Amino acid sequence: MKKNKLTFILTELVLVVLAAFFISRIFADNEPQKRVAVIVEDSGDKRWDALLNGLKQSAKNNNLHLIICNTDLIENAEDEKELINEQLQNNADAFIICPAPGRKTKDMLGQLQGEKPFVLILDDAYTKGTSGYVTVKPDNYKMGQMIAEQLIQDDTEQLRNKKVGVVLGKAETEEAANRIAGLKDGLEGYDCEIAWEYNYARGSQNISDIIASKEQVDYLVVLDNWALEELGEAAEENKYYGAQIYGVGNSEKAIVLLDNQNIKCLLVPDDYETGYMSMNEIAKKLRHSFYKMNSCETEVRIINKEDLYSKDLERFLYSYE
Amino acid sequence: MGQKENGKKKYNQKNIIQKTIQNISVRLDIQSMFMLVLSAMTIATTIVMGLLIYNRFKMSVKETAISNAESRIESTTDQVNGELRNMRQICNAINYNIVQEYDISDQEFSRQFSLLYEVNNDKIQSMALYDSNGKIIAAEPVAAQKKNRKVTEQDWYKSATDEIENIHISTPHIQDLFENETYQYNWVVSLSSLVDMNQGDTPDNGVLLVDMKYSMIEELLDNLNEAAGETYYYLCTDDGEILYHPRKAEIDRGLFVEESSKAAGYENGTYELSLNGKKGNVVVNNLSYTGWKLVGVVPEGVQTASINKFRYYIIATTIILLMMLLIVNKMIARKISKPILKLDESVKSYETGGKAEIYIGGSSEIRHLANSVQNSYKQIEQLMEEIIRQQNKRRKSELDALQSQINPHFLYNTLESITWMVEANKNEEAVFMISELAKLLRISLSKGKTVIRISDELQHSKSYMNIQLIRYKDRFKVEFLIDEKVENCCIVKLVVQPVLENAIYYGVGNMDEDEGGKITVRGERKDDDIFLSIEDNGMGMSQEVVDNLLTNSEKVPKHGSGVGLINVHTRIQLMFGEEYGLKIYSEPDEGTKVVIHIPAIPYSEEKREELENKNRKRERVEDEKK
Amino acid sequence: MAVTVILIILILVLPGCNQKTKRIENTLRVSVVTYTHDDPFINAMVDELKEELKTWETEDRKIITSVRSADNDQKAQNEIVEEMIDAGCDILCVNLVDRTDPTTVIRLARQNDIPVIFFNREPVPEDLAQWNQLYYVGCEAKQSGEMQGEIAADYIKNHPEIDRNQDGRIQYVLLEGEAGHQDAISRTDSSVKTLIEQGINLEKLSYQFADWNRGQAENRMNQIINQYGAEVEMILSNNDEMALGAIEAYKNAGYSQQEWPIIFGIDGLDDALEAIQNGTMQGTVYNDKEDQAGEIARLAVDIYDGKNQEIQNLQEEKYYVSQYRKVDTSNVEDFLKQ
Repeated sequence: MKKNKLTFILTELVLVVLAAFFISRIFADNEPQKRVAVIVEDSGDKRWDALLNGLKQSAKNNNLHLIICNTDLIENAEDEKELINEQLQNNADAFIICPAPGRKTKDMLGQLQGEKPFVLILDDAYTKGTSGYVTVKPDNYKMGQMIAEQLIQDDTEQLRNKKVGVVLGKAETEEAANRIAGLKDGLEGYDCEIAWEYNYARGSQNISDIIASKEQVDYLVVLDNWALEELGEAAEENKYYGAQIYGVGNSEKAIVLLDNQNIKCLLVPDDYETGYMSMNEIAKKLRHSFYKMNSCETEVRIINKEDLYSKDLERFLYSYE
Repeated sequence: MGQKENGKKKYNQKNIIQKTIQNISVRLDIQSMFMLVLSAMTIATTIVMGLLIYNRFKMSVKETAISNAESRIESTTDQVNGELRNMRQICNAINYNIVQEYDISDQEFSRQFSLLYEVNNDKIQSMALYDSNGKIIAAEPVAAQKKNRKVTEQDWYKSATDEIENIHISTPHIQDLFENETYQYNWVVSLSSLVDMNQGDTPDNGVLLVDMKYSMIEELLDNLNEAAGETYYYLCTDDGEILYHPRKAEIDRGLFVEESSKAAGYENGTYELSLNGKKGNVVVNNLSYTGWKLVGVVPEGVQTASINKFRYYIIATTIILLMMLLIVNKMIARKISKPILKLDESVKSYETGGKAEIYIGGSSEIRHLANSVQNSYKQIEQLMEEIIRQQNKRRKSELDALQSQINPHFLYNTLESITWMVEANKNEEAVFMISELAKLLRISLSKGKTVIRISDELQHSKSYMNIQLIRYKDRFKVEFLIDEKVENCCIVKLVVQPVLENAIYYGVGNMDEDEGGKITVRGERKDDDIFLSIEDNGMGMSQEVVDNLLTNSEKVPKHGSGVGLINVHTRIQLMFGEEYGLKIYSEPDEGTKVVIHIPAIPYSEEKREELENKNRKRERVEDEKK
Repeated sequence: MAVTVILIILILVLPGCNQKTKRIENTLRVSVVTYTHDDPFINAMVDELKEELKTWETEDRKIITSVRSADNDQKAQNEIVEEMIDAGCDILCVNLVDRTDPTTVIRLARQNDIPVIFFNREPVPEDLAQWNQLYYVGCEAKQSGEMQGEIAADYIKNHPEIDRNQDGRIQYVLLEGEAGHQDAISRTDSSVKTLIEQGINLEKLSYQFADWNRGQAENRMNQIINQYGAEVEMILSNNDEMALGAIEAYKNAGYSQQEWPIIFGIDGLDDALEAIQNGTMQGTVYNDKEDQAGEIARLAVDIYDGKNQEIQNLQEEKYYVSQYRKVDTSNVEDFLKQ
């Protein structure tokens, strides 16, 4: 009899616990979404349209809450660190960061590593070799090479005696460093000269003036989107005449400029894919904290005038909507 | 051979199951068994019910989702159709009210053209009229054309010129005709048709192009998708080419797969479709005029929050229900089994030596059982008492028998006689008396045996008679006429002597010498029966007394021997059976004849033992019968 | 003696050390949302705003400004406001897409206790009255129209040769922004009325909608030139961009200066100022973006510092109305310097 009673009471207890558990699940609101903060410079700029679309779609698929940090210019690791701190106080669970220029960024990010998972996009932290952090970005070195190839292809004389001027993005960024390296290596062996390099910082002097002040060149390679936009505009308004422009562009505007033939050839990294993939990785990490995130290389398209309005490109442009 | 083995196996399996069930049911007490069965039933029922309800709800949610999708698609289809129709109407308006009305060089033409654009510029990206060479005649809003665009080779132009009756509607694409200062691309749906223009006197064919803002349709579908939860909607051509999809960017990059070509093959209606390995439902609706299809996808296993919550709700309810039912089960089981258990307890306590008080309660059947048990126990008690009583009686009667075997009065008298004889120097008679007494005593005891030879019994009787004759101074005579065949059979000892005693005391004992009292002892064998008769010619008795002799031991006056004919009769019956025993015949003043009827059983040691053992058993049975 | 020296040095140095380790704790985050990224005037004003805000930075208070724009879609703008609030901001500056529909913006801001400074596109008073942390910085379209009328009237009075056909009336063409647009209506209406009040007789040859757009205006003007030739004596444009477009049209038409009409615009864009300087345009009304930007910046900082009560120059404690300024050849230099 006693055994009977014991069994009975035990069963009832187990059931009570189960019932309580499920009832609590009824009333527990859906787990609040995990929050992922995205930090890119000048978050309102149109160039991020595709990137944000990719991030938003992946966030939606993975039931994550996307926070787009309000940013202005991010000059250095200090600026970025403040933004990161702000978001940590804003209950961010993970970060997707475009690293600030400068050598200090790597260490600054190192401090974050223990606290929250993060993925670097578009750029790696500036350091010798790779930073070791998870990155989702195009291969910047390869981009430099691709431009070199295009230059060689398009030029009738294999670039003999041609001069190339290079406008780079901010100094001390992996992006700029690798792109120019790739370009140089790609042009090696060819009889052309890189006449000058210039690091363009947005908001500084007028780009056309700067170029005008430099040595005249046959080809202009513009490895930064903002510089490209300004230059293209200037070319549009007939303020600038000069060499053919080969560039890297992320924005719809850049493509329009290509269309107007102010730019000869455009390299477009797939920012939608960058945003999408990086958010996917973060999602996996947030779901299983032992998951090891993988770096990802995103696609880069070469677009020439003829390619415009191919169905393929139209589809690509759709991601900017 | 195999079949047999199989059959055997199945039989064995069945056996094993049966045995297991038996094992379990044997180990459990009744309450546990009740609980087990009830609980199993309860659990099974509740779970089945829970599952059924959950399933129904899930189905119902799915059905709702599907019918929602259907109605939304209906209304959105109408809206999109409306937009497109609107556009076609605008096209027609331009065509008939402007292009055909006015000469293209007319001011009014430009005026009307731009007015129409102004009025509709929330819907129209641009409108333009081209001549048959692809040269632009008019355009609103006014903007520079992009260079190097071969108008006549563009799709919209070609289809307009190919099918001249209809307004051709393109799929959404980027407008590629006009310069745009805003560095943006505009997505449009182009409506184009061949028109007749008037240029001075020469009529000419031209192509009218109205670029509708794709955002009109896009917004409709965006809104639709936003409100829809897990369901999503997309637009495709009848070939399955996707025009609008909430996840278009992913599809383009191969990150998501949509089976649009399958869906596009369907006519209007709702279908089941396998999407990405999961089942789902698909609602297809055709848009008019364009052949486009609006497809709503309701994925299977839509895990909306409400389904989840409902699932938890059902599970929690099921568990609570289960809890309650288990308690109720336990209560019922207790209630039913309690009386049985109490009954069981009482029986147990009785078995271990407690009182025979059985708990009586519960349902009528249990009460009946309890009562029966109680009665049985009472009976047992009674029977046991009876047995004890009987045993006591038997002991007494054995004692009595023993006693009678050594009748003190007879002994005293005989010893007195012997003393008198010794004193009177009648040594021979004394010796004779003593030896006869010894014989008598010896046979009386017979070493404790109950069954002896008839010859020994008769010897005992003879010794007794010899002694009695001396004491009675030969006042009567005795004659033994015994058949040889009888001598070696079995008989219960001490049956003849009491009868002889009776014959003496009630028969010839009081007769004078000259009356010639005689006792004749005959022994005959008739087949399997032996009859020993003791006949005297004494006073006899009345029939009444005769009847009483064998029945009522109380009324018969005891004359010293103490055993009585009833005793003899009973002993014979006990030993040999009811069909044997004494029969008494008597006539007053004539005499009495007592016949001892026994079966003819030849005497041997084994037979003796057998009879004595049987006797003991039979005695017990007889006692119990009483 | 040595000890004293050391002590003095320490005392001087220590505060410096402290200052080095002092961290900036207070950050004012200003979020700006414009209605489109294509409007050069708005873009210029926002640039001004960013600079002004920078001047208010102190060691204790850092200011971060972020700018986003909607694509002429109020719904998109609402989403952007939501995102910006979500990411964290202290003050919102909103240039509405649809001035009749600020409800969502106000609700979001109010829920999160974030004051909103609307600028340039004015919500109706009932909407602004919903909460006491709503402000508006802008200017009156009517005033700009009036001023345009005044400059034009002055010019006409001083230059009677404008009336080429000497019929006592000025034949003019109107370049309007958009049909049904409040500013366009306001400016057109008050400009013309002012001229009439000033005693100028007018004859409207044509009116055209050019979507505030230089290119479109140019095209329209081309058509008008085709139609009216040199008859056009004056062009009143709702804004500078369209006026500049008209100038282009005339340049391309190859007319001589005397055959050009007088052209007036509104806004005070750099290109317009240049045009006034070299005589292709006769006047404009300067939309004082520096003033407005400055006011927005100051408002933002004051509100953040908690000094709302002390703000003086607001009408009904909400409105800051910036004054337009007339620009013609006499004072155009001043504006160009800015």
